[in-house]
Amino acid sequence: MDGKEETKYKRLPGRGHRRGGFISVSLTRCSLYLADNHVLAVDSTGFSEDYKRFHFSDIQAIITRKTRRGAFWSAFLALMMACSFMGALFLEGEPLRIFFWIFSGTFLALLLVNAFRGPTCICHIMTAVQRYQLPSLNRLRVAHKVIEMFRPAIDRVQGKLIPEEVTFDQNEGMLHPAHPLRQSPVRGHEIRHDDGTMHVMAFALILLDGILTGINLFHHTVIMATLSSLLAAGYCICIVIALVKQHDTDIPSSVRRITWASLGFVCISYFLSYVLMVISMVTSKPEKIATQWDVYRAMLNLSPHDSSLVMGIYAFVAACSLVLGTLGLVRVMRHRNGSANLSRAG
Amino acid sequence: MEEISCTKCQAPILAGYYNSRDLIPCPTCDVPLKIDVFPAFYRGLRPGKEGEALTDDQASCFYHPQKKAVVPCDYCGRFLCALCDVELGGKHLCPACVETGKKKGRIVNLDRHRVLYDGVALRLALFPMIIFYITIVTAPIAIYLSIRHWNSPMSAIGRTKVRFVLAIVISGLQILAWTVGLIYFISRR
Repeated sequence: MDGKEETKYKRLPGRGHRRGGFISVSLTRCSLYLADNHVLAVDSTGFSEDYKRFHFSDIQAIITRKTRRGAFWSAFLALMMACSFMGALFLEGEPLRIFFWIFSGTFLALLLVNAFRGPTCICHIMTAVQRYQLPSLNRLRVAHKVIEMFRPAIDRVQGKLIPEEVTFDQNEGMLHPAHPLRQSPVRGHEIRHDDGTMHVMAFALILLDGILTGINLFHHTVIMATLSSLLAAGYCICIVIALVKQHDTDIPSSVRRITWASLGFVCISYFLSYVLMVISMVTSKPEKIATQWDVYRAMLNLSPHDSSLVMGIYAFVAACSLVLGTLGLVRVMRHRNGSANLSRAG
Repeated sequence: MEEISCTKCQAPILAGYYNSRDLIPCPTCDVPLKIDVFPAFYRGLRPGKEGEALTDDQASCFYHPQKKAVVPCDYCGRFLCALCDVELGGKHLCPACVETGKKKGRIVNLDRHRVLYDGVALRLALFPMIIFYITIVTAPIAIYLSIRHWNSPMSAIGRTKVRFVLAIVISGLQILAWTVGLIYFISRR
C-alpha cells in the first residue's frame, strides 16, 4: 500500500512532560513535529510512542495560558541559592563551605537557565471534537514561535478569515471592552459575596507581627518574641481559612494574590524559624538543652544582635510582614468599601 | 459554532478576546490568555456527503449498488459512492481498506502507537551493566530483539537503525567478556 510511505517530519521547538498524576511512575516526554498537512504530537516513554495528528484543516484555535510555574521555580531556586550562600559564608570548616559554594553555584546556574527560558505557559490545540494539551509548548516564547510556524500552513489550507467573519469578530469586540466586568455565574459556579473578614484578620495579624518583629530588631525581649510566635501561629490559621473561603467569591484577584503570597511567606518564615532553632541549638551549651521546651526557650533568647545572620532573618521577616500586611489590608478595605457603596446604591 | 472557554476556569470567552496581539486577562479568573482562532472555528464541521441515486448508464458503488459511483478506491480499485469514500491524507479509500490498513499498520496516518524495539534493545544492553551478572541473560535477549525487529516499523518520526547497531555491539562485547571470563576460569582450574 502507498500509505506505508513514511511522512517527512520537521521537529518543532519545545519539549515537555505530560503529568500522569501526582506521582507518575513513567515519564512521558512530549514533542511536536510538522508535516505537509498536519501537526504530529508525540508522547514518548522511551519504549513506545503515542501519536496524535492534527490536520491543518481541522485546527480551530490555539489557546495559550500564561502560568506562574516559572516564577515559582525562580523564587524556590533563589531561596535555595540564598540558603546555600549563607551556609557557604557563615559555616565553619573548609569542606563544608566548598560543598555549599558548589550548591549555590548550581542553584544560580539553574536560576539563570529558568530566567533565560522566559515565562511559562500551558498551550491547548482545539478542533471541532476535542481540546488537547501540548505539553511541549510550556514557555511563552516557544509557544509564540511555534504558533507563527503553524499559521502560514493553516492559512494555506483554511484560507484567510472572510470579511463576514472578521466583521462578526470586530462587532463582538466593540460590544465587549478589552477588560470587561466579571462574568457570573459560570457553568454552575455561583459567585458568592464575601466581605473579606477573615482576610482582614489575617493581614492585621501579619502587620502586628511585622511591627513586633521590627521592635524586636532594636530591643529584644523574650515576651515579645513569644508574642510574635503566637501571632505567627494565629495568622497562619487565618490565611488557610481565608484561602478556603475565597474560593468562588467576589474577592478581587489582587487580594487573592496577596493571600497566596502570604502563605508562601508563612512557609519561608517557618523554614527560617527552623534555621534559627538550629543556630540556637548550636550556640547553646549542650547540658542546657534537655527537652523540646529548652530548645524553644533557647530560640526565644536568641537576639538579633547575637549574629548578622539572625539580624538578617529578623529584618527580612519584619519587612515582608509589614509590606504584605499593609498591602493586604489596603486592598481588602477597598473591596469592603466598594461592596458597601454598591449595596447602598442598590 | 463551538464556544472557546478559558483553560483554567472553563468560563466561556467572548469573541472580542480572539486573535489579540498580546495576552489578555480572562474576564472571570484574570489569568492571562491568548486565543488564536482560525477560519475553521467559524465554519464548523463540514456536512457529511450523501450518495446520489443511480441512473441507467452509470457505474454503481461496490457497497451500495443503488448509489452512483463517484471515485475508485486508491488501494483496491473498487468503485465508491460519496458515502463510502473516505478521504485520508489526499487519498480516497473504501471502508474495508481503511480497516485493513489500520489492523495491519499499513496506513501510517492511522498509526496511533508504536513500540520502539530499537530503544528497548539498547536499554536492555545498557542498563543491566549496573549489575553485571544479569547481562548473561539480557545480552542474548538484546541481540535477539535487534535481529528479530530489524525490519519492524520504527518510530513514525523517522529514526536510523543506530540503536539496533549499538545494542548488538554492546551485547556482543558483553557475551565476549563472559566467554573470555569463563574460559579463563576453566583454564585456571
